[in-house]
Amino acid sequence: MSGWHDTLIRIGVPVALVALWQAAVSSGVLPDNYASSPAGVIEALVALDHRDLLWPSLGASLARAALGFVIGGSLGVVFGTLVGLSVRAETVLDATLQAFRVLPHFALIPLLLIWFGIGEQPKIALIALASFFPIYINLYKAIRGIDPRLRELAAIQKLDRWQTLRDITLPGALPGLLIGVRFALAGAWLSLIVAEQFNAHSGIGFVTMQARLFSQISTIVACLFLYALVGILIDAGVRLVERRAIAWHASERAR
Amino acid sequence: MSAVLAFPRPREQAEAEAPVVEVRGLRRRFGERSVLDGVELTIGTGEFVSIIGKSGCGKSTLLRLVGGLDAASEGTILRDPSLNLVFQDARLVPWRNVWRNVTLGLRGDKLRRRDAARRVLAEVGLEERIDDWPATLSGGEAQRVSFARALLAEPRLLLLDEPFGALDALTRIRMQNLIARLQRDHGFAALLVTHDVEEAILLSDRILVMREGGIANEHVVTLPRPRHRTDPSMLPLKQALLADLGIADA
Repeated sequence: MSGWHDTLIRIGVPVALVALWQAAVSSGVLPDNYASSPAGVIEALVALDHRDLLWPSLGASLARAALGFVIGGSLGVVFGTLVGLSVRAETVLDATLQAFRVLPHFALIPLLLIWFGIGEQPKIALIALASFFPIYINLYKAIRGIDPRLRELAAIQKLDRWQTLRDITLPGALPGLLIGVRFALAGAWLSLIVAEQFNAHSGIGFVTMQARLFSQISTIVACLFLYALVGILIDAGVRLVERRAIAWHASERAR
Repeated sequence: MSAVLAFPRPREQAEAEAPVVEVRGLRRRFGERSVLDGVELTIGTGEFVSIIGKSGCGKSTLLRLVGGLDAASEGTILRDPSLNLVFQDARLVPWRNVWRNVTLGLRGDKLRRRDAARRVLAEVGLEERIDDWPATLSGGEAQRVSFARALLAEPRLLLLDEPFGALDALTRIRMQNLIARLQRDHGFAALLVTHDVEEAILLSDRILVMREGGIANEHVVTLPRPRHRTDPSMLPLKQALLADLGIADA
């Protein structure tokens, strides 16, 4: 009944805020050497050298995040599966891993810098750390959370170990794994942004640093906008994969 | 000391005569509490046996032990290795569609597996749901799929753990008729755990009454098949069973 009305409000509020922001800068209420205006940000985005700066920087940032995520995520899958499937592995590994998890991984930055120097490795390591734990925890819990009644069914149907893994355990743990992936990607992207604040020679962080040196506020805000945009796109991508990979889950919820 | 043995593969003629279940001196204790206390049970080829009893009498524990889902504290269980079990909940795997649920554990070519599923699904009247997700099925349909799954490999023994207990009264009647027909067509032996006296009479060749971990009474059902729930000649047996269960019925 009020569908279009709600949609109008949902779109209207941010549009009004942006307009207000523009008006505040245009009228001089907000001094333009402290805050950029929406028009200024668009101008800065257009003015950035797309071919030689914007795209390569975005590419470098994405590559960094992807590499860290793949390393941390794969380790998370390996350990999550191992600890989820084996009580012995749980005894040996879980307490130790949980202890590390309590430590905020950003606190490791000084150590990472000493161990790896100021090149690419500490950045990748930080992103990998951020990706590891969400996947590890969620996968491990998802495997443990599989309905024990399905294990009885597996026994009655005489499924062997491999069939049980393929038909019961792994698909049953998939929704949990994908939740882990979403958290891991969000963590990876956040860590990338932090990692690019200390010394970067490429990437969006590098563009931001350059802009800071020259007090180009519009460019800084434009970079913020890019960080946010990529974050949203990544999340939307994972949701899409989720919807396709677990069609049964959607029908289960719709019930 | 407990031993759980599978039947050795006998010669063809012997197989027809061999019992599909042989339980001797079976005990099951949970801590101090003895749930099964020296149960003896033999089920012949093609024989339909029901166990009735109040809740807590050990009937489900007995079924789970025969199915190999639980281990005996004492005694021996010989069972036909082809057995399958239908649970009270349909227990379909939510992330596998209907035909993949039916063929769970079956090896071989995908098309051939799907055809096999189609064949048993047709028997339970669900051929057209072959590609659907379990969540889209009603309770009765889901249970029919689980019957199809149990029958796929032509077991010589079917264990039924209150399979109609979660269904509404009308669906239950339809399901009882269905299982009677399937048993007539396939000739499997069955062990049915139920608390429904009428259901036991309709389906069984023999009814065992369990009380406090043991078999307290046994009734052989001689009524001709097909049986009808409105048949007045069931009444004496019904009264006897209710009396066994401690229910005085006028």
